[in-house]
Amino acid sequence: MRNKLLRVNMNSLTTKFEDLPKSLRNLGGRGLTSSIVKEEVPPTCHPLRSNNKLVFAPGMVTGTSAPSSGRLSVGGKSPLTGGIKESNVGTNFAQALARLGVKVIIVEGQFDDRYKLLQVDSEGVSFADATPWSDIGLYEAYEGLRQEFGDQVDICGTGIVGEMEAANSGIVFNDPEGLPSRYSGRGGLGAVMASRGLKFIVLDDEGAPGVDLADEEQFRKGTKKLTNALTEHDVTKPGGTLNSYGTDAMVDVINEAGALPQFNFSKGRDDRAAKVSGEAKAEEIKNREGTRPHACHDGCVIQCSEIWTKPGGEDPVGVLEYESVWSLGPNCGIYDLDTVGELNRACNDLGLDTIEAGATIAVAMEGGLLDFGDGTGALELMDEIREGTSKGRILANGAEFAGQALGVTRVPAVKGQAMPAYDPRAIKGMGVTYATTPMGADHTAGYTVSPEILSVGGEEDPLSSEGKSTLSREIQYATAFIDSTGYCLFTTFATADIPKGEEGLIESVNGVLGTDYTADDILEIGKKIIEKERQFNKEAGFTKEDDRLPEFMVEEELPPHDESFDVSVEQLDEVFET
Amino acid sequence: MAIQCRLYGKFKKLASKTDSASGTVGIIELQEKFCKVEDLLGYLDLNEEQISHIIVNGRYVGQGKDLEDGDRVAIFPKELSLLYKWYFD
Repeated sequence: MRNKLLRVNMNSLTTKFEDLPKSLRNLGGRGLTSSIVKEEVPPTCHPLRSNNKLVFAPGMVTGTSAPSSGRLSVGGKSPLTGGIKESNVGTNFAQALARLGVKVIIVEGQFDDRYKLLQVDSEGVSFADATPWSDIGLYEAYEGLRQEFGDQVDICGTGIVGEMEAANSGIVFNDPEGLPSRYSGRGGLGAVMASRGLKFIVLDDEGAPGVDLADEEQFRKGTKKLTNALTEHDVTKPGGTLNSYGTDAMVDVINEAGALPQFNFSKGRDDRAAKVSGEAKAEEIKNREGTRPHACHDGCVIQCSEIWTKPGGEDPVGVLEYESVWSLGPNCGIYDLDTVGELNRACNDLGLDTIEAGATIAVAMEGGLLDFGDGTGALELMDEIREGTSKGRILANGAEFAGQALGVTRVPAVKGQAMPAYDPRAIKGMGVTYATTPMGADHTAGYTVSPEILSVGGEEDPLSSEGKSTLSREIQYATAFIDSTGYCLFTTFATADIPKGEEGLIESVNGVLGTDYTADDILEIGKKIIEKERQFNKEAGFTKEDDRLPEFMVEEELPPHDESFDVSVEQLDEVFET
Repeated sequence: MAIQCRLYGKFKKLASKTDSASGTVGIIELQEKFCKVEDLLGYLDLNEEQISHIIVNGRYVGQGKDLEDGDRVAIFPKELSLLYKWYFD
């Protein structure tokens, strides 16, 4: 059994394997989830009622020996944005699913007598009662599930906030140690999962058939070139930046660039930010016997992850990513790694997306619910969410919902989704991406930070609005392709600088699929995916007026550059209207 | 003070003190006049091979950037490299 579509009907608790339609066979990851959502989900449906579907798809090369390729896309209609959603994660679950011969799982319908657990192994598919692992924190649930099903299984699930069907609920996946720390966090897909009546999926890939290679020689040649590029490049190599400091290495650079949003997007630089930098964190992890470096999935060459713990290596949390550290830290005026670690633990345990959660707490601070910098108060808000109080439920629905409830007009969100850790007034291309991506404000959708802040020679001025439409569009197209391959987006650090690495990446895709793609095809493949996503959103009721940043960012200047967001609406509209 | 030099990563060892706000960034406050970033790097005995990126007053700059009184100059070593070009460049 290979290259199958697994359809899971929660109304009847039945499953069936289908042949993947020819039109979908060369797709993977985001290309597959977005195509299926576009094809099968009515755009105007309520995201939490029975017409929505939840789609899981590993990437094109996921499950093979290709380096750093353990990525999986989850798709559906988002309860946070009301539009199409693809949320991407790195986890062994992705590889196990691909090795089991499953190119995609579509979960449809709703099971009313909650909750069920879906088991998939090389023998087949079955349901089990998930009640023993429901209504409890995910750390405890994962421990219990591993006791029940064995340490070798891979698990995804939704937490307490998913059970509340709250809009800021992610889908959690295990890291290689089994911690519930890898997230398809964005867009509320945890609530979509829980609303199907599905609480967990448990995979066991023992005896699985593995992934077919259409051209093994080309695959080997390609992966060798890519591995060489990854192990040579300063950012991705062993002992390189990501390996040594993780994604949190960005804190110091973005803060120095005046673009690290702090105190709910009120200023772009604060010298206290270095207290929560990648450097500071790596040193502290060493002191407290945590783990660094660490891979989010087996076979990753980059290994940017880590396991943050309490002192003495106790109570492991998992990784503290740049975006999480920023949102739960400096954006809330909190500059203390221990507090950030505990807030991140609470997010993982409850099933909250850290970016949205931090943005929501910052909005609550602006709304007077607590003071900026009040870490103890922020942790108490997490308890309110856990207890399901009225306040907790408001906060569990994200920054925009909380902003409305508290009368806050400075809400940093687009299409209902909170912005990540780059202020668009200081990195204008990111503002264009936030505004125009079909996903709602999302840094990974079109990471213009690369040429604007990080590129050699700095040829793109981050404070200028000029040329940002084209820049964002092309990066968004390229990203949609990478999100479909199953390769980690960070492989592009190396492939962008080392031509043989890029060549190898494409050869490895061709080796798996039997295609003859060249570098010239990348943007076209990405473009087709984004066109489907935009069409879904259009049919869901989105107009170009939704491709805008919040008013306060146009009106208010951000220190230290004292810049507002001055990319014109015409420039925003020309991103995809070409 | 003419220039505040903020040193990250292993460069912080060049400084005798760290900044008061975070305690983690190496700080050198220089009264000397430097025409360009490259003059400052020469003074600090740093060469291009060791450096990843330089940010002056929040702007990414090259070594030929003119310096002025009151400038804030952040210097990141190769070990904190985050440079790359997108492939359609």
